[in-house]
Amino acid sequence: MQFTHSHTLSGKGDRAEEFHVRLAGIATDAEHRLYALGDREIKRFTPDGELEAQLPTSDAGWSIAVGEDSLWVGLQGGIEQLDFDGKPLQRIEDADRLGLVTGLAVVGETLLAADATNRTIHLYRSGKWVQEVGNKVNTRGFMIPNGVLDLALDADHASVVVAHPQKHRVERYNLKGVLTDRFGHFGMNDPADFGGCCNPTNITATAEGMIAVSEKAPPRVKVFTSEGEFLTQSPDGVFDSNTKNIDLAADGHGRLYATDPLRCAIEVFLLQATGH
Amino acid sequence: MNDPDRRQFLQRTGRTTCAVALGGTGIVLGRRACSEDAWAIVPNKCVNIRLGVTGSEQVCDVCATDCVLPLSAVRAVNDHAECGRCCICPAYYDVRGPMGPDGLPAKKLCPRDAIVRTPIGEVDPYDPLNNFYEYTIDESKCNGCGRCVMECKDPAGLGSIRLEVRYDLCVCCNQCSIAQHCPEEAYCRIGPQPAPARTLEGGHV
Repeated sequence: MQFTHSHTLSGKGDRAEEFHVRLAGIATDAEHRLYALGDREIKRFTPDGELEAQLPTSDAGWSIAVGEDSLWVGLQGGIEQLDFDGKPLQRIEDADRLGLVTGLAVVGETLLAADATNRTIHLYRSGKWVQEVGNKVNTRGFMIPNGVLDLALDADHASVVVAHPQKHRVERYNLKGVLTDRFGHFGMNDPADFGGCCNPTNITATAEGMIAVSEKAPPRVKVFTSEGEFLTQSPDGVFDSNTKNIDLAADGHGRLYATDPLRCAIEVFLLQATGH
Repeated sequence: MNDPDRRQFLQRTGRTTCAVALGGTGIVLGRRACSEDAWAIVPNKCVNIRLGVTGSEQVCDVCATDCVLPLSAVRAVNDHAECGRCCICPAYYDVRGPMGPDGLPAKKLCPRDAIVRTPIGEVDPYDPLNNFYEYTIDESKCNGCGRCVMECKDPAGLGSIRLEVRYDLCVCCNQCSIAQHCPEEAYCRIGPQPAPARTLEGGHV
């Protein structure tokens, strides 16, 4: 597996494709376009990296997911649904239950929201809260000293994978909220392990079924098979050494996008299988 | 009580009150004078605290070795409001060292074993990773070497542990030995502020 850095998108600045203050999260759609959430808007980039649209959000968003026909933005105490032109469709107001929504995954009518304040995952169907996910195996909640809880829809669209930083592992849940698999443990020397106090911090799944996770100190991206076998990691020196909570997104063309929140930049990597 | 006794009682009481008042004023003035000569660590200069330098192998231990006191007046302080209460705290464990049979690092980072780790609340005995831990500094052991500060700093940790000059321990030397040897000029005297200028330099009178 080859994992190479291709180029950088966006950054911090005043140009239309740049962010003034913050870059919170990224996601891709079925047409391989990239959505970058930051400041108080969503910027949509073509697969070639051209800025295509700027869609305002009602509040500062913390996470983004793309459904079949709409965008979902995680907020403080709520989740907003927009169409692809940025027109608001609905808003799940659940401030009594929801804290800061730092991760979202959507499949059909099912929406999973990672709540960093309450350190849990909420499962909604058709906009109605159904249950929490992961609280039976994590009796003290997800442990996230880094302040961010992230999840991603798995390639089979039948489960979600969650980065659990303090437990140094990736957990997989089915859409009924049952833990079905987990991999990873603490270690500072083998790149297959997760080091420091709290890694991995963010996660995504590729169309081919691979799991990509990001780490802080040092900032890097690692790629595993669906079963948790380590494949490769990002080259050194791409990210600011002090950056953390690197959000990830993958498209169907072998591109892996990774944010650098300190620089408000999006690093584009290429994942290519090597022939045998 | 007859008149001479009452007079003596009042005289004694008056003398005692005056002595207490004068003594108290002296203590307050003395403390104020001392506080004006205090020393402090500038966080964005200190190599152990400032961002960008990481890893306990790069620690500067001048604060620990150069204080005139037997145990330095500089100590590590953990801000519990900022602490992540991690299971594998890099300030507590030597995370680069060998692993123990329980899946946790086998060695502690602090050479003086000055950090105390205590599980908080209901403890899960089967999964140590499912617990939160409180980390407190044992001040009778800490000498301010800064290794824990180096490992806890952002982004690897949350930066909850920092080095502070303990003013109740510092003897406020006029020529502080730590300051003289600090390689980054991060150990500074907090003297009385100079009186503001009557006119701005270069300004119109």
